[in-house]
Amino acid sequence: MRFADVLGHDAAIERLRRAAATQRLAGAYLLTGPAGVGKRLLADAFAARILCAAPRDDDACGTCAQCTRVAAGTHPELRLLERDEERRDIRIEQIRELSRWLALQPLMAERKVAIVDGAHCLSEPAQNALLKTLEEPPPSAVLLLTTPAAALLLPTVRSRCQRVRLDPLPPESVARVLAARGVAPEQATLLAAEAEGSPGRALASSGDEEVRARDAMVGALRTLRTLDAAALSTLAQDLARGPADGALAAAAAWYRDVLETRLTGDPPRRHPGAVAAVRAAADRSRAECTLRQLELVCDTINALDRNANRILAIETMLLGLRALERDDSPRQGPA
Amino acid sequence: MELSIRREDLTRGLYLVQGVVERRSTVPILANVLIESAEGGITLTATDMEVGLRVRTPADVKRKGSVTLNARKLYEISREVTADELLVKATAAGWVEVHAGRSKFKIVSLDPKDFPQLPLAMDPKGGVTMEVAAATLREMIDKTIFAVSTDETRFNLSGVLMEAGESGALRMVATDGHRLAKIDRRVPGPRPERGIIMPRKGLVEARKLLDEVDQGDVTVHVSPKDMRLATPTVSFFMRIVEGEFPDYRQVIPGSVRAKARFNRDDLLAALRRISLLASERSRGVKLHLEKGKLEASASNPDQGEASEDIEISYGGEALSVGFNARYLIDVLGVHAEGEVIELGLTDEVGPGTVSGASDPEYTYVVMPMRL
Repeated sequence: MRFADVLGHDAAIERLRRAAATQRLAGAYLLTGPAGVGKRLLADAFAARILCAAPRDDDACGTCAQCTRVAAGTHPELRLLERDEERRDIRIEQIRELSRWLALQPLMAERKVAIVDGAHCLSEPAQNALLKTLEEPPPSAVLLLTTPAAALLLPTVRSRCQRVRLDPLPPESVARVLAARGVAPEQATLLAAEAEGSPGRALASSGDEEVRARDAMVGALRTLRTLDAAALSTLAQDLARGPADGALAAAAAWYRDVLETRLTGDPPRRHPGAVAAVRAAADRSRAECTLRQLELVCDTINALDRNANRILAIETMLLGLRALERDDSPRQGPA
Repeated sequence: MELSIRREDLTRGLYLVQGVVERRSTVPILANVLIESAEGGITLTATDMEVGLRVRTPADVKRKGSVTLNARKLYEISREVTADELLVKATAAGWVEVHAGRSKFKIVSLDPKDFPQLPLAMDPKGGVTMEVAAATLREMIDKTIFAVSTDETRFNLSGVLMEAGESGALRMVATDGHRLAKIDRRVPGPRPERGIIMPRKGLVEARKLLDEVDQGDVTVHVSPKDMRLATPTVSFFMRIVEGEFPDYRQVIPGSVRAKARFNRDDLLAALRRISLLASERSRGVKLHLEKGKLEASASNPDQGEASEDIEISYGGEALSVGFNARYLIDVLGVHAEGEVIELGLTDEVGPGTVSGASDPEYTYVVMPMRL
């Protein structure tokens, strides 16, 4: 991974390039930004640049002995720390082990780099154990922490890191990432529009199953007021068993577009192919009501993040959305 | 590659290398042993990137090449099979067959190109090379490693310092801030320009290797980046700790006021008994010296108290000092059985020293505790 392979984030890259070129590296960096925006990619590229033996144009060359090892994951001066899959957090033992490793003299390069991916998963004792290393990092050590939720880190940890903020990418850039991974251009534009500037999120929702779940969700939203409870329940069960995250994000995108169209009259940004349907929905509903529907979707996304019962949460959301929509048009009366 | 190897040779080689393979599963190839054809046999190489080991072992190589196989699995296979001879054969890309008598194993091999390059060469560029008797090195490690700090935030104390002593001897020093062990040994050859700190883990692995070389010499290579060891059949490297070892010289008392001599076994046994009733946390025992006698005592408000007299050779005035029993037991444990030990005390609150009466080159300093 090189800076050249990272799309967007020009300001952040420029800053890291300069730090590496002038050898004025901080002991620790904290890369923050929405999930899937490219924090880990940037950390990988920065690590490669730091360890590269023959950097070209302030970027890793990608071909030297150091770079090939970085790419193969066998570089002795690069270590990745993340949450074990079966664990809830990054444990203090992992940090102790990392600190011990950081204290060792680099073997192959001048520096050694540790990437802590998902630093918000550090348990509180683990964060405290890391403090000492952050405060007085061994001379050759560079720590790269990434997190979508910097607020979950202790202020003492945050204040000891240089913050590198990554902003959401424009939809065109996201679409380019998707196209590069073989997603059909039309589909790419559609997914990119809904991804809120996060290529990772767009990619995650580009699989066949994800697309199906998303289509089922958006299809249901368009005809919500006509669906009976049994149909909603079936839908909820299907969604809960499959990849629901993308579908819920699509629902949020739908309501955002309806709301924006309603308030501004502009054509929907996230659904350029469904102008008529969005306009129809916007004309049908009041802004307050759409806003409450959007809130309901966002609350459900949060609840699922916190391990709520998936079927129950999604079913409750669908019923809630339908109730709001029906309340909004009293002419039809209750079903 | 294709080769046949005696089971005994393979098992011994794998026994040595499987101890250092990566325990964490993050880099799959580090769980593997690299098998390469070499002059007169094969080499087995394993590393966890902190230490690395290459063992040369005789084998009948029929077709040259290299493969990497899971070190633990191969070790277990070579221990479990009963045939005297094993046949190892790379077949299709990524697969290796192992035949042993009537057993046949087909094992996944990872690409040897992905195996890291290790600093195992004993080239004299950038660093110094010494020939040291394995027994001497074993002694120096054993007499210092127990004093290494276990607090990982004090990383410059997390290993044993190796440097040149004032008299030109080779020196090793370890301390955890409460006690310090320093040993000098006359060893021919140049000395490292700057001291290096060898981490505990690397030393533990090196120590295992030294057991394999009973009498002979080992080649020690010290550079500012790593420390290497070589025996006729094994090459080893360890990464060293970055940072400065604290100036330990100022904690070694220049002169002591009271000197007592006793038999190592007497005090060791007494301390083991008395410390049974010392408080669990501090392990504090009180040593009371008077003419010809030392009384060791401990008390613990929850459990009771204990005391024991031993005969010593001491002519000074009466003096009482408290110590952590473990710190004394540790050092007495590495002295030879029956050795005459000299205990030096400054006063009730100053550091104490422990050394063999016939070996002033090994010094141990221990801070007292208030009891």
